[in-house]
Amino acid sequence: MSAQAPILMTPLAKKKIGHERRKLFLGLAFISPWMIGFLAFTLYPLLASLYYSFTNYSLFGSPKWIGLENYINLFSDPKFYKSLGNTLIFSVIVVPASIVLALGLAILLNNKLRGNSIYRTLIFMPSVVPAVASAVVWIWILSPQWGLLNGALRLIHLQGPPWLSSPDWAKPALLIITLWMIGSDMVLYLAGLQEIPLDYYEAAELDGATAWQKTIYIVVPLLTPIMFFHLINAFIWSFQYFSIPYIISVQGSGQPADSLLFYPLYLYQNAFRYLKMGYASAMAWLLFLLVMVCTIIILRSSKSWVNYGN
Amino acid sequence: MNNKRLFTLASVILVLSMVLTACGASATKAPAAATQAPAAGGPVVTITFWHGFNAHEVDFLNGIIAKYWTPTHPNIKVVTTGNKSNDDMLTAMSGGDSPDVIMGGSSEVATLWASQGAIIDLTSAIQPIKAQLESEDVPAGLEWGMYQGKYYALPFVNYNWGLYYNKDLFTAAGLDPNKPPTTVDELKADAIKLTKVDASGNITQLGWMPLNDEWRALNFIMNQGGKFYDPATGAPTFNDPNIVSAFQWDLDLQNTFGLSKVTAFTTGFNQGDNPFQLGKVAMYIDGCWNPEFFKLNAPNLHYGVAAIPYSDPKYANANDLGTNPIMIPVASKHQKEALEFAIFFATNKDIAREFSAEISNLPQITSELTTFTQDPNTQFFAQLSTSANAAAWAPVPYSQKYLDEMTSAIGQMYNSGVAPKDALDAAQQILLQDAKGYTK
Repeated sequence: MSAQAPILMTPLAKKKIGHERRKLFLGLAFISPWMIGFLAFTLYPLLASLYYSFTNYSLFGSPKWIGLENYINLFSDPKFYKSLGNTLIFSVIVVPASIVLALGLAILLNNKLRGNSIYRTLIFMPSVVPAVASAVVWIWILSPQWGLLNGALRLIHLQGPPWLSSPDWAKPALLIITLWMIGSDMVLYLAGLQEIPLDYYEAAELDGATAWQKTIYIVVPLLTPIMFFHLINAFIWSFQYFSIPYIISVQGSGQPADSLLFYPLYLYQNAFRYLKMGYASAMAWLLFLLVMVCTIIILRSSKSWVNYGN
Repeated sequence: MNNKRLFTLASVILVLSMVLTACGASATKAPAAATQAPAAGGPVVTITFWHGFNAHEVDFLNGIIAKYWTPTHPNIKVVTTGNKSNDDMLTAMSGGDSPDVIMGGSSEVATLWASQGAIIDLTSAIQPIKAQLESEDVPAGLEWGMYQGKYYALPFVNYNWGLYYNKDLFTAAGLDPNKPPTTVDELKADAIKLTKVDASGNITQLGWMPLNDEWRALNFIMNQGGKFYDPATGAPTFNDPNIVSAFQWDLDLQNTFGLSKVTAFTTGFNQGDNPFQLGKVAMYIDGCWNPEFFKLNAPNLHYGVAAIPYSDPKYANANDLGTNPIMIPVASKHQKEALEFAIFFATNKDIAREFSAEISNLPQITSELTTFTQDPNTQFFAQLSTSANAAAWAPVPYSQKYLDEMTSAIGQMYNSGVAPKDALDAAQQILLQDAKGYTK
C-alpha cells in the first residue's frame, strides 16, 4: 500500500478525540479508588502468593527459591489428602443439601398465608448471625450431655450421638450448623419464584397437574438459572469453609481425629502454626486450580440443564 | 446550596468520618501504673510488652511491674497489652509495628521462632548473668528457650503435670487412700478395681482416664522411658519402642472394659467439665494449676497428687516442664531497653514468686520453689519440677507439628482402631520429612 498523506485533523475531529480522552480519564479517575485497592490488596497478594509457593518462606528472612518442591511434597503429604478428602466429602453433601433445602423452603413459603413474613424472617435470621457467635452457641447446643439437641432427642426416647466429640458425628454436626444458616439462599429462590408468571400455574391446573408435577415441570426448570448460580457459589464457598470448623474443632486443630481438618484449616496450620508460608501458598494455588476446574465443569454442564427461558 | 449539593456534601463528610474512625481505632493498651519522674538527664524510652494473660491477671502483672520494675528503672516505661495470642504476636512481628518484649503463649513457639529468625539471640546480652541464670533457675525450664545451644528465650513461671487420684473413691474400692500407685503394674491393678460397670456393660465410674489427650499422653510416655527426639541430631523418634508400648499398655487397659465403652463415657461430659472433679474418674494426669481450681470449684473433693507411675524406676518422676518464654522480636525498635527489662523480669525472684502464686504456676527460680505457696499439693508439683527426669518433651523447631501429629495419631488409635505401631510409624515418617526443613 502506498504511503498515505497524513490525515488532517479537522478542529471538530480534534475536539472529539480530546473529548473522548477526557471521558476516559474521568472514568479512570472515578474507578481509581477501587483500582488502587484491587491492585494493592487483591492482585499484588495474589501474585505474591504465587511467587511464595515456589519458595521456602517463614515470614521472617527472605524467601528461598525451591522451585516445585512444595508442590511435590504436598502430593506425598498424607494430611494433604486427608484434608482434601474431608473438604470434598463435605462439599459433595452440603451443596446438594443446601440447594434442596433452600428450594424446598422457598416453595413452602411462596404463598400468601398469614405469618409468612414472620417465617421468612425467622429462617433468614441465622444467616446474619456472625459465624463465631453461631459456632460458640452451637457447641453448647451439641453438647452430648447437656445440649438442647440431645435433650430434644431424649424427649422422643432416642440416644443422641456424641456429636463434636466423635469423628463420625462431627461432620454431620457441622452439616446441621451450616444448613441452619440456609436463610440467605432461600431468599434467592423466593425472589426467583416471584418471577414465575401465575399463568403458567393456571395453565398447568387446567391440564390437571398435581402440585408435585407443577413443581417438577414449572418451578424447577424456571429456577435453574438461580440453581446454577447457587451451585457455583456454594461449591466455591464450601471449598473455602474455614471459620466454623476452626471454632468448633478446639483451637482449629481439626479434631476429633482430623474429621474436621478441612483444607483451609490445614492451610492455616501450615502458614501460621508451622510458619511454612511457601507450602501454604502452594496449597492455596492448588485449591484455586481445583475450584477453577470444578467451576468450568459446572459451566460446561449448564448448557444441558439450565433453562434461561426466552 | 441546592439540595443535591447538600446531600453530596453530607455523604462525603459521613464517609470521611467513618474512614477516619477506622484509621484511628487502635488496640486498647493498659499502661503500667504512673511512673515516677525520670532521673535527671535520662530520656524516657517506652517499650511494649505483649502477653497472653487476661482478666485480672493483666492488672496483677501491671501491679508487679509497677512494684518492682518502675521504681528502679524510671527511664524505661513498660506498656503491657494482654490477651495476645501467638498468632497476634506473629502478625505484629512480621508487620511494621512489633512489640518490644513478648511472652509466648506456649513453650513450643520459642524454638520455632528462633529457627526462623523472628526473635533475637540472647547470648551476648545474658553473658554477664549466664552463670547466675544456670545456677539459679530450674534446669529443665531453660530447655525450651534454647536453639542450637544458644539462648533465644528466658523461662518465666513453669508448669508441669502429675497424677491426681480421688481418695474417697480409693477408700470405697478398698484401696489405701494414702498409697497411690507408683508403678504401671500397680496403676493397672488399681484402675481395674476402681472402674464400675452397670448391668448393660456401660461404664459408670472410670478408674484411669485414657491417654487420648496429647498432654496426658506425653507426660505418661516420659515415665515409660519414651524419648520423642534425638538430642544429637534433633530428629524425631516418635515410633520409639517405649512410646509404642506405652500407648499399647493404655489401649490394653481400656480394652479390659471395651475401648468404645470408655470413649462413650469420657465423651459424655460437657466441654469444660472435668470428670475427675465430678468424682466420675478416679485417677488422671493433669497440670500443676488444678489445686487452686479445685479449691474454688470442688472444695469437697478429697484428692491427692503423686508422680505419674513409671515402668522402670530410672524413669521415675518424669514430667514435661513447660514455661512462658520471654522473647525479644528481631523487629523490636528498642532492643537494648527490651533486653534490660526482659532479663530483669525473668530473673527477679520476687516477681517469680508472686506471679507463680497468682496464676498457680511454678517459679522458674529454684530458691522460690519452697516459699511461693503454702498449698501442699502445689508444693509437690514444685518439687517435681526439679526432678532429674523433668525435661522439655521436644525442644525442636517442629514441635508444634509434632503436637498436631501426636493428636492425629491418638485420634487414629483411640477412635479408629489403628494399632499404635502403625499410627506412630506413619506419623514418624511425616515428622522425619518435616524435620528436614529445619537445620538443627
